[in-house]
Amino acid sequence: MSVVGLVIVFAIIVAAVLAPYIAPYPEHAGTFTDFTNAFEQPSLDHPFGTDDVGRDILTRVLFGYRIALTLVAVVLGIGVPIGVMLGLVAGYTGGWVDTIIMRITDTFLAIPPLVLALAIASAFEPTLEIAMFAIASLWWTWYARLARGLAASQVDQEYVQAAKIAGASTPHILFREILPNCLSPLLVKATLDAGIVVLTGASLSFIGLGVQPPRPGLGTMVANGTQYLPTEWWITVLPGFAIFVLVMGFNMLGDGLRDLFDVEVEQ
Amino acid sequence: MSHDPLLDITDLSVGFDGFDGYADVVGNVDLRVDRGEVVTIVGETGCGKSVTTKAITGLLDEPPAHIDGGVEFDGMDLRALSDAERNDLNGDRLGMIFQNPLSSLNPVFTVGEQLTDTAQFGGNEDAGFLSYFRQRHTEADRAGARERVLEMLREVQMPDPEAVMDSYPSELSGGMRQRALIAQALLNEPDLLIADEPGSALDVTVHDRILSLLTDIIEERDMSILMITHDLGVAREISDRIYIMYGGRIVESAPTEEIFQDAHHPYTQGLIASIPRLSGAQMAGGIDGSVPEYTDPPSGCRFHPRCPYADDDCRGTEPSRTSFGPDSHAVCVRHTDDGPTPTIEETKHRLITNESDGTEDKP
Amino acid sequence: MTRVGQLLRRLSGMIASLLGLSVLIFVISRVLPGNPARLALGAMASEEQVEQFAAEMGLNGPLSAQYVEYMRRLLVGDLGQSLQTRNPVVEDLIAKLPATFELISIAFGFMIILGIPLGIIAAQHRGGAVDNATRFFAFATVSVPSFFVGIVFQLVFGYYLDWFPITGRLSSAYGDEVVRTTGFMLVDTLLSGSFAAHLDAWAHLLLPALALSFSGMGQVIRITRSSMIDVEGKDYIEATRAYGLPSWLIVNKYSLKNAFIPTLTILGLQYAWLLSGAFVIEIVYSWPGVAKYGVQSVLTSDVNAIVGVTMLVGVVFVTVNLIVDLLSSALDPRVGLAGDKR
Repeated sequence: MSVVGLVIVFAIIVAAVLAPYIAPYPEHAGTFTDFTNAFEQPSLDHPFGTDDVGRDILTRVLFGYRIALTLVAVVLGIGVPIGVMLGLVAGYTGGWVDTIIMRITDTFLAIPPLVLALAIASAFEPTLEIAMFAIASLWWTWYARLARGLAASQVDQEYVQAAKIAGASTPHILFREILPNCLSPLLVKATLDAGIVVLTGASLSFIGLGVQPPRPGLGTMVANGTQYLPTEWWITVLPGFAIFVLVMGFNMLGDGLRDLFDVEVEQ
Repeated sequence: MSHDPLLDITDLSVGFDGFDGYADVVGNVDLRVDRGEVVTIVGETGCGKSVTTKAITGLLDEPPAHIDGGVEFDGMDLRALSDAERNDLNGDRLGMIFQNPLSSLNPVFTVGEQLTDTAQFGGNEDAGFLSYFRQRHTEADRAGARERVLEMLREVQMPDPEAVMDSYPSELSGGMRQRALIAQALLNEPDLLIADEPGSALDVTVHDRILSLLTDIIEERDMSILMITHDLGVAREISDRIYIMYGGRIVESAPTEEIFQDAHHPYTQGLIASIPRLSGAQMAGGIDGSVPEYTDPPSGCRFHPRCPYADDDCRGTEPSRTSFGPDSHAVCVRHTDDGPTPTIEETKHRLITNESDGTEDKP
Repeated sequence: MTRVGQLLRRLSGMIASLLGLSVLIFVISRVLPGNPARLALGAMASEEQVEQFAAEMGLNGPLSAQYVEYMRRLLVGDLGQSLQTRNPVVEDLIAKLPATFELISIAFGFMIILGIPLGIIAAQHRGGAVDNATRFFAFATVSVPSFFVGIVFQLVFGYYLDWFPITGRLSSAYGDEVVRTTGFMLVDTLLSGSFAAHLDAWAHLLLPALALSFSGMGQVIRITRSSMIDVEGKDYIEATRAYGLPSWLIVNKYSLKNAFIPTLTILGLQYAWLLSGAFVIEIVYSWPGVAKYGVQSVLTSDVNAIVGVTMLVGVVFVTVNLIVDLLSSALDPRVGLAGDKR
C-alpha cells in the first residue's frame, strides 16, 4: 500500500514541479479572465472544466499542488529541524533546560494547530506567506516532543555512556550517536504530518486566511466555488478532490513506512 | 494391564505455515493418560510440548497450523467438535494451568471478577448476553459462584483470599498469581488437568511450594493430570508415567521409576546423567547443541546431531519404536540394529569424554 | 506519589499551560507587527479614531503594564467588547457555546457509535473483504478535508436528494414555537413540546455532525482495530478460551476493555480535533456557534473576540486531556494519572 502512496506522491510532485510546462493553460494560474469560456463543464478541452472567470481548473489545480507542496516543504523544513534539535537537547540534558522547553511546547500544544494558526494569522494581513509562517511557527512543537521522548529513552543506553566516557562532545553525541537511532520514527511522523499540513493550509485558505485570490490555492478554489453550487459543481468538487488525493498519498506512504520500520525494529 | 484412557492421542502431527517455510514441529505422537494417572511430558524448551497441549485444547488456529491425527477424550473425537462444543468441553472437563502467571491473568480486571466469571460461565458457550446479564446480576447466582472461588482460593493456600479477590494481578506476588491460575483451572472440577510448567516462571522456593500444593491437590481429588516440564526431577516427584519429547517426537516413554533405573534412549540417558548429584560423583555437563530448526530439521533421527552414538544409519532412516514393556518404549536406531545398546553409564561416559576432548559427532 | 499528589501535580501543569497560552495570545495580539487597532478600524479611519480606540483597548503604555491589565481582565472574566457584535465577548461566547457543544457532542457520538463497532468487526474478520473495505474507508476519511466532506454532503444530501437542510439549526417555520432555554436545540425543542421541531433539529444536525465526525472516525476505527488484534494475541485472552468462557463474552467484555485504553487516548485527542474541525464545518453550514464566531473575529480582526475564543478552546482542550487521563487511570490500574504506565 505504501507503494501506491509513493507513486501518488511522486506523481504529484513531478506534476507540480513541471506544472508551468505541462499545464494546458499556464497563464490561467494567475490573473486571467475570459468570460466567454466561463463555467464550462469538464470536456476534452478543459478536463476539469473552467471556473467563474473562465480559467482552466486543471491548470490551476496543478499550480495549486505547487503551492501545497511548497507549504509542506517550508513548514516541515523549518519545523522539523528546529523541533528535533530542541527536543534532543531537552531530552538529553534534562533538568531545567528540559523543563523550560517542555513548558513552552506544552503551551503551543494546548490548542489544536488550526486554531492557533488562525490566531497567529489574524494578527497580520492575510496572505499565503503569513499562513506559512503561522503554521511553521507552531509545528516544531510536535517534533520537539517526539525527539525529546526519543532522546530521553536513549540517554541510558550503553552506546551513549560509552561515547561520554570516550570524551565525545555533547553536539557529537546528540547528532552523531543519538539522532541516527531516532530517525525512523521521525521520518514516519514527518510523512504522516505532511498530509495534516496540507489539510491545515487548505482549511486556512478555505476560511480566507491563506492563499488569496487570484492565486490558485486549492482551499481557496473550493471556497470560491461554493457560491455556484449545485449547478457548476466542478469548480468546488474537483480542487477538493485534488486535496484528498494528495493527502491520501502522503498518508499511505507514511503508513507503509511505519509498517516497514516497525518490522525492522522487531527483527 | 487394561487401560482406561481418558485422553488418547494417536499419531498426532502439527505443522505451521510461516515466513520461512513450513515448520514440521510435532509428528507421530502417541500419548495416553488414564483415569487417575499423572503423566508428564519432559523436554527442553522448543521440543513441541506446548504445541501438543494446545492441539489438545483446541487453542491453535488452523491455518496457519495444520493438525493431523486422533485426539480422543473420554471416547469423544475432539477434532470433530465445533468451536462452541470445544469451548464447552474446555470449561467443563478440561482444566489448563498456564505457564506464565503474569501474562495469563487479565491485567485490567480484578482476580475476583475473572475467577467468578470462570466459575459462573466456564464451559457455558450458550450463555447469551441476556442470560449472562441475568445470571451475573442475580445475587444468589453470583454470590454462589463467588463462594466457590473463595473456597478454591483457600484450597490453593492463597493468603488472605478476600483481599486477593479485590486485587488486580499486578498487585500480587508471583506465587500468589500462580495459585490464582491453579484455582482458576480447578474451578469447574475438570476431569483432566493440563499443567504447563507450573511455577517455572517463579523462583525456586516458591516453585517448590507450588509443586507440593499440586501434589496435595492430586491426592485429594483423584484427577488425571498431564504435566509439561523441562525438569526431569520435577517429573519424577509427581508422575506415574513419563514421556520424553525431543524435536517434536516422543523418543521414550515409561513408568517413572523405570525411566530412572533403566532409560533406553540416549537423550533420556543424557538428561539423567546431567542431573546434579550431591555425592560428588562426576556428572555430564549436559548435552551439547540445541533443538532443531523445524523448517529444516535434521534428516533421519532428529536427535542425531547431538547424540554420542550417532552413525550413518541414524542420519539416513527415521528410527522406529522398540517396545520394552507394556507401557514402555523407546525410539532409537540403536535398538534395532547390531550396534552398541545405549545404557545410562555408557552415555554418561561418552558425553563426558566428548566434553573433555572436545569432539562431537557431526551430522 | 499518591493519587491525590499526582492529581495536584497534573492540575498545576494544566494551569501552567493555560498561563503560557495566555502569554502567547497576548504576544500575538499586541506585540507582533501589525496595528490591531488599525486593522480593526480599517484604512478609512482617521488617526484620532485609531488612537482613541487603541487607548480604549488598553493598547498603549509599556508592555508589562498591558499584560497585567490583560491578565486582570481575563481572570475577572472581562474579555472586552466584540467589534462585530458590540456585545461583551463573554456574553457572545456563552450565547454561542451551546450550538458548538451540541454539534461536537453529536459528532463525537457518531464517531463512537460508528467507529468502534466497525473497528471491532474489521478486527474479527481480519484479512477479509470487510476488513479491507473498512480500512480503506478509515484511510479515506482521515485524508479528506473536513470542509470538503461538508460541502459534498450538502451537495448530495441537500441539493440532489433533498433529504436534509443544509444550513442553520432549525427551520424558520419553527422559529416561533421554540423558546431558547438551554441553548441546546435538541433539548429546547423537547421542552417546548414540539416533536416536529425536535425532528427538525435532528435533521439540521445530521449532516454537519456526520461531516465533522469523519476524520476522527477514521482514526477511531484504526486504533480500535489494531488494539483488538493486539489483544487477541495476548496470553490472557488465550487463557479465557481454555477456561471455556463463551466467545462473545471474551470479545465484548474482556478483549474490549483491554483494547479500550489506547482507544480512549485517541478518542480524547479526537475531541480536540473535532473542536478544530468545527471552525470549518460551522462556516460551511452557517452554524451559529463559537467556532463560526471565532472565524469571523479573525477575518474582522476583532481582537477581543479572538483572545476569548482562543482561550476558551485552550481551556476545553486541556480539560479534555485531563479527563482522558483520569478515565485511563480508572480503567487500567497500571496507568498513573499523568497518563504514564507504572
